[in-house]
Amino acid sequence: MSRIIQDRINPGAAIDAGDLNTRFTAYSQPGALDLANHAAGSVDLPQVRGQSIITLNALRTPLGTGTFDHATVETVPSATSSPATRYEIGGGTTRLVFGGSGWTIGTGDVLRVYWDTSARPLVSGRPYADPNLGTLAIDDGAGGQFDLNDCLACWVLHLEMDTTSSALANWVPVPGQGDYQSGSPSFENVNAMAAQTIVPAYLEYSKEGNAVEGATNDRTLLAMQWGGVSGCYWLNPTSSTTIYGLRVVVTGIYHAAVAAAQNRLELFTAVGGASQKLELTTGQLSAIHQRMG
Amino acid sequence: MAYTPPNTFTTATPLDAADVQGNLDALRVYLHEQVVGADLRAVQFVDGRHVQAPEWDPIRGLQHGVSGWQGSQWSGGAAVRVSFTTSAITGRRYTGAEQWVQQPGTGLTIDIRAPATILFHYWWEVEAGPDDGSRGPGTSDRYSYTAPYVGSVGLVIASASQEVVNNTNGWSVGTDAKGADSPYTYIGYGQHDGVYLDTTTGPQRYTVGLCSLSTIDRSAVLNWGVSIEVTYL
Repeated sequence: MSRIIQDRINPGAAIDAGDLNTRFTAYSQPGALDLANHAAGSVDLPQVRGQSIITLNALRTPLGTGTFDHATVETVPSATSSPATRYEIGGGTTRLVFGGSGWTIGTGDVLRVYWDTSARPLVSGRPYADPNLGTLAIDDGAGGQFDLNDCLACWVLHLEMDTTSSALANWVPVPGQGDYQSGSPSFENVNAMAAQTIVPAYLEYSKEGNAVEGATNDRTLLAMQWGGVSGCYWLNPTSSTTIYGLRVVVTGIYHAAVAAAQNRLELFTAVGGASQKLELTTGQLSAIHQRMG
Repeated sequence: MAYTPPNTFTTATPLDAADVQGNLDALRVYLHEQVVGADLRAVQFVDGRHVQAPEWDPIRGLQHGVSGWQGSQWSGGAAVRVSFTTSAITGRRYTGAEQWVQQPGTGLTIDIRAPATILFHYWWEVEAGPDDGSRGPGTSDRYSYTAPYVGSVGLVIASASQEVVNNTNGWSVGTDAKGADSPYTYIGYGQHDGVYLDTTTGPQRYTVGLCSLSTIDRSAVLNWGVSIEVTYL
């Protein structure tokens, strides 16, 4: 960018021929005016004001192979052993593929990712009652107590990327996100959950159990139904990073826990099995790569 | 032609007002009419985003600049302008027909002037049902679906739809109170959000908004918000 910057002429200052000439010849700058001169004089949106705010890449894909009205669904069984096997939504057909050269996210760039889908958790028979993880002792209205689970259990949908090659054979969680593949049972602390969406796995309640009101308990495992879920993530890397693809994977069922002064989600295999599952229909996965000024 | 001052000043000679004015006049002419190609860098440095006329639309909350569009709309706050979605007009409850209907106020129409990337952000919250009437065909549970559309509801992005289930089990049979059998904190309430990404290959008038499809007889759309980001490529 070419700018003409001159000291002001103050009252009482001598008129110098050389200075005066310079004030005019400063406008003689062949080949100096560029993009920045035009941008600085343009009217732009306040959030992108600058000389290099541009969208470099953008891509969207439907996420999942089901249909929105639940006529066909994808089914993810819950894990019976640790760690849980990662289930890719869409089975590899609905991931974002950035081509042979990938997207190179520079230090001045930002990668923004958005996803959503619809999910229905199916858990029956109170499998969480043994080993009683999350038990709450509730007045049964008859002088005793009964177990009402805290239901702090969930499925996890998290974002993964491949930074190795366009072969897309080396998936890892994005920075800030863990993959729930370590520990016994496997877990992730809450400080490694930057790119995940959770789906509550089950919910039970007692509609009437209350001694004061003189009613007995009526523990009910709610039949969970379909509902939309969504998530988002952004990356502003500290060094240039080439990404060849993005995908969303599912694991579960996890339960809230505390260990080593850290809140975390840890795998709850007692609830595992093919009949305790998560169903998915369809959604979308989008990414946009922008350069920040 | 490039600017060259018509008058040059020399030390120890009288400074003539006409000479100074002559230089200023020449500069004025140059800056207004005579910047030539030789004064510019010999690489392409002006693209579409630098020659777009700005625009500000306070009614729809949209503004346009050289880089694109931005703006947003919302319903005005919780329950301020409740709208509704119902199987009565989406026609699916009994017949199986699929008729998506625009959600009032959520549509944005903009004039896109160059190839662009569009990000449409949206969220909404719904109290669905209760509806204890006859079930629709092919489903044992009823839902209120919301999805983005582009242009018209003839182009609904159904894959991006998200649903809220009916507050099922019908009405309380108690004699003291009648109403939804389960509290909405359990079922029948949903707050969802999403982002729809699209691209255009050239100038066009572009409309994007939210539409709904319901198998529930009536659901209240309590609150919603939409935002749009458009950047020219």
